Amino acid sequence: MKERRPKLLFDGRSGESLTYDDLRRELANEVVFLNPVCRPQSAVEAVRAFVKAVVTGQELVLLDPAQTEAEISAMGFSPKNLSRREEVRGKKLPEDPVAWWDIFSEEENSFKLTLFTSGTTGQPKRAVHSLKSLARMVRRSSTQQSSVWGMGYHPTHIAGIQVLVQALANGNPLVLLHGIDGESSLSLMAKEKITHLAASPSFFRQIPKGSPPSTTVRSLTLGAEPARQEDFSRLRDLFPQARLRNAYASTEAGTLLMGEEEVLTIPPESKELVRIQDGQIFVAASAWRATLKDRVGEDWIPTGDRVEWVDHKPGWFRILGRQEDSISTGGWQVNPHEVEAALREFPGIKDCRVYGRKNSLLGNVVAADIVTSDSSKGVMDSDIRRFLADRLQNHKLPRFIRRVAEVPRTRTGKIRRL
Amino acid sequence: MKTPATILEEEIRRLLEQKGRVVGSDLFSDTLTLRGDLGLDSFDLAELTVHLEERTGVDIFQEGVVNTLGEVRQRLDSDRK
Repeated sequence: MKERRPKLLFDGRSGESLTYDDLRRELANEVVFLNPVCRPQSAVEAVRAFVKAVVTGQELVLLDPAQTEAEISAMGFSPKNLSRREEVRGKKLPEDPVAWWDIFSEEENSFKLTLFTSGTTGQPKRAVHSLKSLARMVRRSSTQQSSVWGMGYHPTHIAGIQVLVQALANGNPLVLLHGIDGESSLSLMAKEKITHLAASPSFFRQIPKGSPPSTTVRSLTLGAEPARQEDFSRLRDLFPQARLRNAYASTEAGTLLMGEEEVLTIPPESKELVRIQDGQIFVAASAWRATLKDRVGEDWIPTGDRVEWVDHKPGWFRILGRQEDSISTGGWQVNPHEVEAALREFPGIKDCRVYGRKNSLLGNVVAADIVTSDSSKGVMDSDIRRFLADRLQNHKLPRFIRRVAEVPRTRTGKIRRL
Repeated sequence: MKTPATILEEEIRRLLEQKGRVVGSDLFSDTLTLRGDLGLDSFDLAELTVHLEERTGVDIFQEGVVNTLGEVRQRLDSDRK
């Protein structure tokens, strides 16, 4: 019999881990304790809560570890719920984790997962998932059983949940690379022999240029934010043996689109759920599992994600970015992702964030926070400006550049937008 | 500490040099217009505003449009406590 690694989750940052066997033993008890409203203190706690709810067919509200009690109250939960414990009946699971999935998905599993969108402004929105909606794009096969997953997402975020479900469906180990720097994550990928990677483009941009290429990774999926051609050309050097893909998911509907490199198409699984109209992605209200009191009667919901056609006939397109990310300046709309991509080309800029800064004359001006490498401390703003002026239209040039120690990021490793 | 006039001169110089123009010290007469004489477009003016605001705390366009260097200087001076 093939030796199987028993780990379900290894958190590369904290060093904590959780094995399939730990969970199997815990779930085999007569009575299992659940936290129906869980604000996990660790990634291990999040994964444990998720699997226990799936196995026992319970409902789980999974919160961002950073959510404050005031935010939780604003979402309609009393913070008292955080300490609520429920007793449910345990369930016997087979020793081989590959067989677990057949049990989860056997009959009607009443499991429900509630997540809240990160919503940079205003109220966070609620999204409710079933196992079926989370498993829409899951692949199971005997070759998948030898996969080792690495992910740059936190397991309380929809992107992380999707990777977790994929790993669970094949009994794979999952290594959490979220929150560790680029160099350490590369060495962890080699040490843990990671074969499948899922992370945001921002995550990979933190791997220093010229790092030694990975020999273990066979598949790499970008997600959570628009991926650009430059990202893929760098990744081809870093991961020469990997098939490079691009996934599009929303907190409300789970994974909807898949593509080779940066070009996306609507796969057969999503034909009824997604359409492109007026250069924007629309999702069918039926796929949107949120409680949409204000949306009743609408069939298609705009996502705010703008696309550009690569080729109409086969239905190939690429994502340009979020409408809400765009900076309105002097009557122009500037895509911060485009300006960030140009800035990252400047030698010595390790990381950056482009945002709108309020201005009485133009509404906003394009501003940039940059992180420079130690050897580039003496870089002048005027050098950066000249460099950008050759690459970008006048209205896209950052008018205000600030040096910062780091750029704040979200649970998916995305740049935190202002 | 630098006077608002010095800060303004530095910022105008920086903007013009960035646009590839060589600037002599005679260029800072109060009657010069920002758009016509100095050739600044609205993005340049917005840039000027942001940088002056960062250094002096004064938004020169907050009270309405300013056209000449002299008017900018006045705004910077009048807002100084």
